[in-house]
Amino acid sequence: MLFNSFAFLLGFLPLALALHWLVERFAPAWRLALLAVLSFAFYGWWDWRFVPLLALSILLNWAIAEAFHKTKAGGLITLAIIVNLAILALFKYFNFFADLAAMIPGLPTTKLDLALPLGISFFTFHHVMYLTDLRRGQAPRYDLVRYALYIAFFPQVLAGPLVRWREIMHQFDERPYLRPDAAERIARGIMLLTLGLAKKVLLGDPLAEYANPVFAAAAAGEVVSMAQAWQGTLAFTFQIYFDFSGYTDMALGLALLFGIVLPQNFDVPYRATSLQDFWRRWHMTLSRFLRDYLYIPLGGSRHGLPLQLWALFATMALGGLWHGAGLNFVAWGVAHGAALAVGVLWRRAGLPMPPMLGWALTFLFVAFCWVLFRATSFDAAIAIYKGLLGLSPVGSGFKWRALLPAAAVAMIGPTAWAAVHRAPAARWLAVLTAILFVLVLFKIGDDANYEFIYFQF
Amino acid sequence: MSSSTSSSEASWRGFAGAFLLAAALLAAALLALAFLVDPYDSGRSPLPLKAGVSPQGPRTAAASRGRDPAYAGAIFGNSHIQLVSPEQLAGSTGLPFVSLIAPATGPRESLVLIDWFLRHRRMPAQALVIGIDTRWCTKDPTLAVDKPFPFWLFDASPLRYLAGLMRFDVLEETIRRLRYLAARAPERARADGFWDYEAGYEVQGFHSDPVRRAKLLEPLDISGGNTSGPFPAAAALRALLDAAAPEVPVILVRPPNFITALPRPDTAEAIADRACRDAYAALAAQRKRTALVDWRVDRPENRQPDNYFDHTHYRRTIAGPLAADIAAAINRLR
Repeated sequence: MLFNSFAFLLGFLPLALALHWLVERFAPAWRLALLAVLSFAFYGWWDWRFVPLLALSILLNWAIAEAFHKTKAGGLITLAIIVNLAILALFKYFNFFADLAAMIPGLPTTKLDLALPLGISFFTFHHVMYLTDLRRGQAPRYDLVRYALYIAFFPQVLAGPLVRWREIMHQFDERPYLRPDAAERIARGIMLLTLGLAKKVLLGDPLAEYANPVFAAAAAGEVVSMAQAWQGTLAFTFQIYFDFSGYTDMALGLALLFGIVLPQNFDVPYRATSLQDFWRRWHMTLSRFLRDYLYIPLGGSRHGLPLQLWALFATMALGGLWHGAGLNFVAWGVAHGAALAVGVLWRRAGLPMPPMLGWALTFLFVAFCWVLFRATSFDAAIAIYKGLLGLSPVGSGFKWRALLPAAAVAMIGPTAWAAVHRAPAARWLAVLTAILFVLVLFKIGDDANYEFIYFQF
Repeated sequence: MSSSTSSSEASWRGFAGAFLLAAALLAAALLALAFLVDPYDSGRSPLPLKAGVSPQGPRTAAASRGRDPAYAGAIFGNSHIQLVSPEQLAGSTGLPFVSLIAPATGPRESLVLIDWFLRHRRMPAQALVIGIDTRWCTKDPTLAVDKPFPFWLFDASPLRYLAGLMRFDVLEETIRRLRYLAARAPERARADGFWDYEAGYEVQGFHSDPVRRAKLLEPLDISGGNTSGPFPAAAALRALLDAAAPEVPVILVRPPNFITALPRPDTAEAIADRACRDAYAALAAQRKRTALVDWRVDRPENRQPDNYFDHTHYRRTIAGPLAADIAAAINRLR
């Protein structure tokens, strides 16, 4: 179920919190089992047919980890990672590679009509992180319930953040409501959840009305004017930020309600003054994952410049493919990889980059690349690019008033996480938060309630 | 735990409590206000309120229009029956008519509105005119809906209505409604629901643009029709009429289409069209005081491009004779 739904906010969440409180208070030994059951119920709400897949995925990986502890055979871990990636490939990439293969004359075309299990990209990476660290001798053994909760914990199972085992496992063994800051965590969790909902529902979703028609027109082969292209591109640039960072705030806030602190995922990314800086601020947990489990194993920065550039390029291209099974996503990753490589060369050459110019170039580059991310085809992306570059009629009706508040919140204000952690324990703030929460609830009731963009990845 | 931590924790507990209390009170207050003000004049408020609503879309305005006791007959359907004038029907039959059409809707929405209209008659309804376009030919038993429709507004369950009030649109409409109630002579949505789309189509160039005209002359793709049945919309309509209006005269109207939107003889499309027509002709034959008015046929009016904006949206030059046919059918049934 969506975090921004009545079923979740008025049904699942209060019930889950009540059960969790009861069990934590009267039968703490069952707390983790309850959280695991709740997480499976949450996951199954989408489509119960995927629950066995998630359960099997957890069981198999845990069993292999157990076998590794007994045998210390590294091949088991390699095998497990290959199987995890193969399952991901089957569900997410089979048709993509089939389409690529079909371009080769003589090869038969085979397609699979498989629905994509939600969150599979995220929980596959969780398995990979734990198993890799297990082989490195860094990760300890966990029982099945703890491992299941690590993978399936409902605030993060669908779209992250990508949590390292060492960031969360020790928290599972605490008595969250006996902590001296238990009430503070709950209160800050409420604020974070509310701000996340507001970012998604009040800021992100309305921007879709300015982005969607432009990308739909481009997809239909229509000429996109300069005004339309800038409006659509900027609207999507801010929409995806509020959508995804709003989701993350909700996930972090929800976890706090259950006494768990999840890692941050965003740090005002559109204030970045370089692309390297951007990736330290945008989807930070994915950036960390790609750095530690792909970029460094591919060579990293310690084996010479050519290998570093190659590792950077390959990491970002694969990162692009991770986001979606389409050549446009690969192109998006390739563009980021190439630009990051240019940044490395620039810095190595000792060339200057004034912060304001760096910010402008970074923002424009990121926004231009979002076109590849959002467009449904290269032709559609080209139609938008023509508009952005002034190769189509200027047009009119650029909706700057709709974009200005979004830009201000995205670039000037602190992150929701920072704001919430500075907030005082004041009643007036509680009432303001309640007003915002109720407004969001009423907004959710409207017919145009949107899913999260990142659920498709 | 230090005393300062204890004090801080007490403050945070107070924060959480204040949040819960404020959120619950505010949500309850807003819902109560919306219920009492009755933003769409659905008749559920215990307060004596001014009848009618301020100008708004027909989907929500239908709640007020559909329970207006001034009307004995009603027109249901989408934009394909929209141009049939309730005034003309009233003039020809002597029965006051209201148009409860909602553009881009299908049978499921129409069934809900028919039920709403019938539920709110003090005197038995005198005639129902129902536009049966190709969406009524579906074999989908769920009668899936294309565009959002406020089913909650017409629901018989007070709880589902209350839950439906929890939406931002309702808050906005509540404010407009308060203004409407407070004003001495507020602007009111047209009571009989008629909405002439000609002006809007003219503005968009549907009638004058040569490209659009050329498109009208090209055959419309109507493949993929339901050639073998079943026709669950026909069954659902029959069940509703049997339960709620067994004696009420009903006119089923197959709205006019331009010749390029009609099936060519001896094609799968013609078989599907015939099968669907037969399903509703059978309903008309089996149910007393029911007639089928079929303008989805090859007739001179449907060959004249000037009578159409696009393949399925005709102009007043057709709407007038069509309404005359409907009125004649009503008069025969009474």
